[in-house]
Amino acid sequence: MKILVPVKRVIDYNVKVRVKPDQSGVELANVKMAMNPFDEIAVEQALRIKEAGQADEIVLVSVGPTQSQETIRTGLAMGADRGIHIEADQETEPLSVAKCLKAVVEKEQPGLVLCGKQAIDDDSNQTGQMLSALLGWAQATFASGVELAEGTAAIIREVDGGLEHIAVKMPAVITVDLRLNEPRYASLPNIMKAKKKPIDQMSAADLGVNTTPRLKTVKVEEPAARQAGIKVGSVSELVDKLKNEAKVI
Amino acid sequence: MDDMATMIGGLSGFLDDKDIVTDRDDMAPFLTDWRGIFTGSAQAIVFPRSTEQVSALMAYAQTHNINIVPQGGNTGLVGGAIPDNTGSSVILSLSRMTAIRDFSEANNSMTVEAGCILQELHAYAEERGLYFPLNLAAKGSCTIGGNLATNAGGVNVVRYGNTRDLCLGLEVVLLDGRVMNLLTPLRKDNTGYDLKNLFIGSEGTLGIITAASMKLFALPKARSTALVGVPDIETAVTLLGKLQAASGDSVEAFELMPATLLKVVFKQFPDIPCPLTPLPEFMVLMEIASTNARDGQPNETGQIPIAETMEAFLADGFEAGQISDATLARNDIQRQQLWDIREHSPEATKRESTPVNTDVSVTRSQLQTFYDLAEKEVHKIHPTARVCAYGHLGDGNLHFNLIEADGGDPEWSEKRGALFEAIYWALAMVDGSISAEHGIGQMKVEQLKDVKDPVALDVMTTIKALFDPTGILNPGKVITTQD
Repeated sequence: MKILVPVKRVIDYNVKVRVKPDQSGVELANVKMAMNPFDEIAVEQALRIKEAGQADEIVLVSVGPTQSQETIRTGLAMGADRGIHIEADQETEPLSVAKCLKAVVEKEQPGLVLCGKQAIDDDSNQTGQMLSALLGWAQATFASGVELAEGTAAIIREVDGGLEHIAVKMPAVITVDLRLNEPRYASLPNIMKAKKKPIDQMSAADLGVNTTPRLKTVKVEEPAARQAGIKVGSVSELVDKLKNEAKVI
Repeated sequence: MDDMATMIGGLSGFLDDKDIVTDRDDMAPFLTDWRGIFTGSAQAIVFPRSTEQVSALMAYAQTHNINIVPQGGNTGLVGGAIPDNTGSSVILSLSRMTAIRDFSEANNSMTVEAGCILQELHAYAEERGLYFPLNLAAKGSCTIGGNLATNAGGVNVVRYGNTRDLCLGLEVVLLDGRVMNLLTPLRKDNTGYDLKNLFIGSEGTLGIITAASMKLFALPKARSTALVGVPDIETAVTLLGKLQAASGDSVEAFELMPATLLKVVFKQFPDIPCPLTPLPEFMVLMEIASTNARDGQPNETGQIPIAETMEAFLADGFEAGQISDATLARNDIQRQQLWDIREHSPEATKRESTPVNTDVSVTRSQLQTFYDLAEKEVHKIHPTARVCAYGHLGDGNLHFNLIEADGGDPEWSEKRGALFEAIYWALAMVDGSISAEHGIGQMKVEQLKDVKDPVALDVMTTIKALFDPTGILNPGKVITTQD
């Protein structure tokens, strides 16, 4: 079986995001980028499935600017086999990405699509679900446990109040949650090998997908700054401030 | 000395009441070092907020013959900031002198008061697009005044030097209350004796550092961090030279860690993931940095230039058999996890055992010889001792530490003395220093007498007597004035 893992290039999780002065979006120039952390978890899970002998090839696919190749290369260094880069210079939206992925699925015929539950830049949490609908495949979202069997997958989902165990038919789209696994470090031999692994190039237009944005960003704002705390001199002053200033008691 | 009530009364003449602490419980955290090795007692802890207040305090202390023990963040490792047990001392904490008096982009310098927390200085400089490179594990608590008084080192010394190398000028309050203004941000100032360097590393025995002018640098914008398995220390030293050459001398850190240490770190901190399996016998955490943001962005072939430099270096070392395995941090989370291993090392060994801790310095060319010699001697005395030698390989600075056998060792406490002696014997064989970056404090006073050149010791005693004729400035630290 082949596993397809979509990976997205996003601002590194640890970077402090800054809003552009004109509020049209966030500052991306010269900002450190990395693979979306949930996608790393999907890559890791695919590698584990392959190592367990339940898959024979892992294909990474990324829709985005030229630099997305570097993100694919990161996943290849973890151990994936090859990559597909779909060039798209505009900001990508879940529906157009899902349509690109559908075209790739039809071409590559994977038995499973494993993706992150959401990207940490736009937090859309839509691409996996849209892809399953477009393909008419089963979907399992927010997976924190994945066990494959003949023709089915047993999934554990973290829900309010406990764990939900479900079974889905394969082929399926599974979106993964934070606690599914701890992504591995890339070893030096794998980093060196990754340089020689192939990345196919194509454009969204080649796949017949129009990526013109349908959504319009009106304004992006920084969250309101938190006010600094103060020290109070006594309990009675504290009570007075809680009552009359904060009005919480 | 006057009786206590009179003395405290005298202090409140020039300090706010809330800046004088005499309650036993409130004083406790200031009277023990963080490792819990040294405990002292004091009559009071005073928290002056200005140079004028320090000056008044010092003059008062001299008049009334009160022992003064200066203290910063109390993160020292040799008891330099902990008073003796006589209860006759007043701790002078600089922690409430936290003003940043000047910040100059054009001059690449900042003038800061002694109580500024190191990590806060990092953030302050970074917000203004510049970099203050002094970096050590205690950065969240230690103060710049303490860093200067001990000439602290840390992980970036290989590229930027130790605290002394980063200091342009100092403001020092002398025992008689006079304020010596050496607070120039000038890069060049050959006007007689370099007095500031007398105070840097003097551990509060000559005067009180109240403010300093420090160097700033261009902010690194791109980094590549790798954990690299090496067969031995000698190879690691060779690799350092190669990486410096390959990276345009931009090696920011080069930290040696053995597998024995990593096993302890992973045992004590199970949340830190293990990056290399199986663990090589020795590993180096290495980091290169570039101040050019483009070095961190993919080029037209999709490669990140700084990562390419590191990968090419690692690949060469791998093919030459100098590197057995390696991993590169692919994002900031992994970088932090790699650094977590190094930064949790002191705490992990402390939880695992009562370690035999040292802070030795040898030339890089002698590191392997020293390591082999010390390890052999240690195991001759106590075969089950675990060698956890980690440290700043780039500076020839090893924390050649020992911990007891896994599961505990009833003989450990009685063997410790002999184990220290074995390490220091090996150190003497290679003409190393007993203190690379921690200082002498109260821990190594006697040892210093044995190893320091007698003429140098004599000159040190003369200098001490000049600044502190009655021996009330941090008494019992660095050198003893009587006997």
